[in-house]
Amino acid sequence: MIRDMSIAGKFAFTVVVIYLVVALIVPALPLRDPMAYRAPPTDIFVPEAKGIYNFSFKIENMATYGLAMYIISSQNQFVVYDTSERREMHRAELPPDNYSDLQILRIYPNGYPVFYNSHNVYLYDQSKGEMLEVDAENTSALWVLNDPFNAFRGFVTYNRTGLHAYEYDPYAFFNPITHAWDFACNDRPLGIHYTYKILLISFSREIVALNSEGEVIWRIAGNFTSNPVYIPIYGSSAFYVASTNTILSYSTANGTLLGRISMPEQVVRLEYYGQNLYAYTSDGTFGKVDLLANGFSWKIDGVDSYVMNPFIDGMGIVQGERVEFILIADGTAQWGLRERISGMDIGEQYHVPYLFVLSENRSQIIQYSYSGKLITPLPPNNKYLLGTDFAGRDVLSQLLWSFRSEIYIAAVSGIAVLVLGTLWGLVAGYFSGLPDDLLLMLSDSMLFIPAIGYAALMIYILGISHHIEATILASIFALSPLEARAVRNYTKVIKEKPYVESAKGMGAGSIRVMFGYIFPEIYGISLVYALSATTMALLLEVGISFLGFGNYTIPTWGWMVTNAYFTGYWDRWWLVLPPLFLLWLIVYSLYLLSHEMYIREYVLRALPSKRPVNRESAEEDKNLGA
Amino acid sequence: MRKIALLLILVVLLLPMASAQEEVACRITDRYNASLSIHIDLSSETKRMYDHDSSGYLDRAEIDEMIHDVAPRLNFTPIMNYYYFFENVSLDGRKPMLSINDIILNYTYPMPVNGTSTYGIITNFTFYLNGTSDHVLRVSLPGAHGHFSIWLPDDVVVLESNLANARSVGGHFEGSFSNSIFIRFREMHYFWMNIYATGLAGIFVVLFVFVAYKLRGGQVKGIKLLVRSVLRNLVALFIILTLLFYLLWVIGPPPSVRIGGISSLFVRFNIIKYYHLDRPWYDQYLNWWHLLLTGRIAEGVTWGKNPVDLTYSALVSLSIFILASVFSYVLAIYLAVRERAERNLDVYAAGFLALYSIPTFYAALVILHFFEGIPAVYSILVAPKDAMQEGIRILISSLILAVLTIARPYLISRSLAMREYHEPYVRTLHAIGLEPRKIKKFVRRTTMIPSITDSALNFGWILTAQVFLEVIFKVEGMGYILFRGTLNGNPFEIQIAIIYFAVVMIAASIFADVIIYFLDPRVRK
Repeated sequence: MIRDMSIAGKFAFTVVVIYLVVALIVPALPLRDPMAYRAPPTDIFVPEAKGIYNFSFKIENMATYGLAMYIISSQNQFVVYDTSERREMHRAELPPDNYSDLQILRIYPNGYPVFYNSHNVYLYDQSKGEMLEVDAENTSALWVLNDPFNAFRGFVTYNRTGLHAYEYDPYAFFNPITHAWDFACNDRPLGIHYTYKILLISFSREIVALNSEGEVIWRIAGNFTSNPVYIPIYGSSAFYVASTNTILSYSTANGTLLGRISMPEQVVRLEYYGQNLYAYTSDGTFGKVDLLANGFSWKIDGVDSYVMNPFIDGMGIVQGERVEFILIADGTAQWGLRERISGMDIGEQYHVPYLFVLSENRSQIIQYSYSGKLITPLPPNNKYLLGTDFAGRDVLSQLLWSFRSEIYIAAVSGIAVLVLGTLWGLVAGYFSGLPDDLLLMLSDSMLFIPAIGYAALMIYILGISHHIEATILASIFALSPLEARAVRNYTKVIKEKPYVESAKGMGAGSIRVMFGYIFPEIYGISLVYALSATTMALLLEVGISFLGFGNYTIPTWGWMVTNAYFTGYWDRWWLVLPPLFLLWLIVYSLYLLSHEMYIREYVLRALPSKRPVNRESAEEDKNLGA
Repeated sequence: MRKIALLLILVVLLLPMASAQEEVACRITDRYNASLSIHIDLSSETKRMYDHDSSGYLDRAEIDEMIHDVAPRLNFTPIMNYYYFFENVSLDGRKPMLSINDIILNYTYPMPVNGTSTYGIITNFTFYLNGTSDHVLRVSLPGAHGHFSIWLPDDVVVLESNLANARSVGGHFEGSFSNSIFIRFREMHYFWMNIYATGLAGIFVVLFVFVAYKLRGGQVKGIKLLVRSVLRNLVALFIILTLLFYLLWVIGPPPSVRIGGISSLFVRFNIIKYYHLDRPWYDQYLNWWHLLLTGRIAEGVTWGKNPVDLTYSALVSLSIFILASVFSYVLAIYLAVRERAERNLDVYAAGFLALYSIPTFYAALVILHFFEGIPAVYSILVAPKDAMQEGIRILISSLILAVLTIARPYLISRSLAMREYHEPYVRTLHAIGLEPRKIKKFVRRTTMIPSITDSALNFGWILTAQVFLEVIFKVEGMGYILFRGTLNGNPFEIQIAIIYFAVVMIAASIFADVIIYFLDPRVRK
C-alpha cells in the first residue's frame, strides 16, 4: 500500500507514523513536568540594578542604613550619600589612619555608623549632622549593642587592656557618649552577643556572661571556635556557641549545657535571622542549622564571604567571582552575578531588601533589588532547547506532552466518525427509499449547526474543563453527517454492481451484502472522510482552547498558543510557532494522505464516479474531497 | 417491688410530657405553593407541670420551656437573607423554600393553666416538582405522633402512604402518623396527558415520515423545486431545533445545577417556572416551541448579571455575515474568471489557502496586531464610538472575514472557470471576435452555479470563523454571545446563538437554492 504512494503520500504517512511514535514514547522520555515544572530562579531572574552610584574617590569601607550610604574614602573622608536624592549629604575630613569597617548602631528609627582607627572611635549622628569622637587607643575590635540588648545602647571596644563599654544616648544634652565599664581580659574575644540584659562573650577557652554593669555573672570553660548567638524568641533562655564540630547550647541563666548539635565541619561563625540559626564553617560552607536534628537543613559550599543581617530577609554571598543573592528561608539562589567585587552590604529601604555591591575599582556602588528581574519567557538555549514560557516552564516538554492529547483527540474522533458515519451511510444507501430519506434528512439537518456551535453545547453539557471530550463529541456531531452522506452516495453506486446483485441472488442477507460485498469497496472513501474529520477535530481543539475553554492540567498545542497570547508573549516565536507548525504539519499530512487515498481509490481505479446518481451530492463530494 | 411500682407510676406520670397529640394539616394549592400547619392541644395537666410559680398562668419563659419539650422540632436552614430551606419537608426529594414571613406562630399569652390551650405553627412554602406525574411528599417530625390530613388539588389522587387508618374524606385525605409522613400522589391530568402525548408523538413521527417520503429526492423541476427546498429546509430546522432543545434542557446535569451559575436561588426558581423545567417532557417541549414562536425565548438572555442587547448583536452579526458572504463570493468569482491561464493554483489561490489553513483565530490575531500600528483604525475596530464608526467596523470585519474564508469558493470557481475557458463555445466566441468582457459574462454565469451550490457548506465555515473574529475583535455579536454563554455556563445565550446560527444557515441555504433557480436554466425548466 505504501509502496504505491507518491512521494507526498509517503511523506505524509511518515509524518503520521512519527507523530504516533512520539505520542507513545513521550512518557519514557527524560522530559520535565510540562505544567508543574518551574525553572530555578537563577535561570529566570537576572540582577536588576535599581541604582548605580559613581564616586570620584576610592571607597575603603561602606555601610548602608535606610536611604543613606556611609562611606570612608581612601583619602580619609567620611561621606554620607543619599540614594534617593542621589547626592552627598555630608562630608567630613578624618585624620590619616587606617579605618575599620563601619557598623550600624540601630536606635529606632535611626542608624548610627560606628567605626574606629588606632586612636579614636567615631560615631556619626545624621540628624544633628555631627561626628562624635571617643578616645580609645589601640582599639582592635568593636561590637555595637543592638536589639535584643536593651539595658543601654552603645558599643563595646577591645584593646590589649580589655573590653570597654560605652553608652550612647542620642537625646542627651551633654556627652551623648559616656564610658560605662571596663572588663579586663587577655584574649581577644571571638564574639559578643547579648540577651535582653546579659552580654555573652566567647573566648577560645571560656565564655563569660556579664550583666549590664560589666560584672561577671558566670563563666564556663571550654574550647570554643565561634561567636555566641542568642536567638531572641520570647521565653528562650538558651544561646548557641560552636566548639569545633559541635554547636553547643547553654543556658543564659547559669551556663549549664542544654544540648549539642554536631556539624560536619568546624564552625567559625554563627548568625541568626528570625528563629533560625545559621553557621559558617572553616571550609567555606554556609547553611541553616537544623536545630532539631544534626547538621544543615540547607547549605551552600564554597562561600568565600557573605553578608547577612539579623534584621534583613536575604543575604549576599561571594563564591569566587560569583555574587549571589540567597533567600535565607530555603537557601535558594534568587539571582547571580559574575563579577569581581571589593565589598558588599545588605540594606533595606522601606522594608525592601537591597544588595549594595562595591565594584572592583572601588569607585562605584550598585544597588541590586532582592528579587532580580524576571526574564521569562527564556529564548531557546542549551538547557531549555525550546526556551520557557512566561512562568519558566519548559516549552519542549509541553510541546512533546501535547502530542498525546492531540493524537488522542484525532484518533478517537476519527475512529468514531468512521464507524458512525459508515454505518449511517451504509444503511441509508443500501436500504434506499424511506430509511434513506430519513437518514439523509437527519444528516442534512445536523449540518445546519456549525462545529463551533456543537462545541459550545458540548462544553456546556460536559463542563468547561472537559474540552477534549467536548471537541471529540463536537466533531462527531458535525462530521459524521458529512461522512454518512459520502458513504451513502458511494453505496448507492456499488449497490447496482453486478457482483452485488449476484450475491443477493445467491441468497446473501442484507447484513452480509452490506459488510461483505459493499463495505470493502467503500471503506476507502469512509477513511478519506474520517481523516478529514481528524484534521477538523484538531483545528477545533486549538480554536476552543483559544477561546479559553480547557483543562489547564493537560497541555495541548492550542493551550500553548492561548497561553502565549493571554500572557502577552505571542510575539515570541518559540512559544507560538512550534505548536502551530506541529499542528499545521499533522493537518497538512492528514490532508495529503486523504487526498492520496482518494486518488488511489477512485481516480486510479476509475470507478464509475463520473456517472453520479445524485447530481448535487456527487458535486458536493468532489468538492469536499478535493 | 415497691420501687418498681413507684417507677411505673413515675413513667405513667411522665408520659404526657414526652408526647402530645398533634394535628398536622398540609394543603398543596398548586405545583409551586403549599402550607403545613401543626396544632398541639395543651391540656391543663401538661400546662400545670410547667407552671413553676403556681400563678395559674404560664409566662413567656414557662411557655418556651413547655414548647421546647412538647412541640416537634422544625428545622429551617437559612439560605439567603430572608429565605430558609424547610428541612422537615421534602417534595420529590427537594427541600422547599420559604421566607421568614411565612412562618406564623399562634398561641395566647399569658396562657391560663386551666382549660385546654392550642399552640399552632403555620408555614407557607414554595417548591417545584419533578417532570413526571407521580410525586412524593415526606414530612419528618421526630418524636411526634397524631393526626394528619392533606388537601390536594382536584385532579390528584393519593397512591400510597404510611398513615394508619388512612381514608379519603371529602376533598382531603387523612390518617394518623407517628414520627414521619410519607405520601405518594399522582396528578391525573399529567398522567393521562403523558399517555396522549406519547401516542401523539408516535402519530407525529409517522406523519413526519410520510411528509419526508413525499419530499424525498427525485427529479423535480421548476417552482416545485423551490417549494420542496423551502419545505425540506424547514423540516431540517425543526429537527435541529428539537435536537437543540434535547441537548440543552433534557440531557446533562439537572436544571438547578445548569442554570445555577448565572442566577440567585430566587431567579433560578423563576427560570424553572418559565421553561417549565418542572413539567413532563411534552409540556416542556410545547412550551419551548411556544416561547420560540412568540419570540419570548430571547428573554432568557436578559436575566442574570450582564444582560445582552440581542437586537444589536443579531443586527451586527447578520450584517457581518451577509457582507462577508457577498464580498467573498463576488470577489472569488470576479478573480476566478478574470483571464485564461494554464494553471489554476495561482498566487491568489496560494494566499487564500494559506489564510484558510492556519487557525482562524491566529489569522485574526495577526490582522488585529497589524491594525495596532494604525491607531485610528484600531480604535474603531475595538471600541467604536458612534454609528458611523460602528458601520466602518462592520465593513472592515466583513472584509477580513471574507478574506479568511474566500479560499473555498475561489478554488472551486477558478478550477471551473479554467475548464470553462477550454469549452468549445468559448473558443467559438473567441473565434468570432467577441470582446473578452462579454465572454467573461458567459463564463461567470456558468462558474457561479457550482460555487453557490457549495455555499451551504461554506456558510458553516464562515459562521465558525465569525465566532473567532467577533471574540478577538470584541464585536458583541451572536458569536461573542455564544462564547460568553459557554464561558459562563449560561444556557440562554448558547441557545439563542445556536438558534441564530441554524436560522441563518437555513435562510442562506434557501437563498442559495433561489439563486440557483434563477441562474441555472436546467433547474428552471
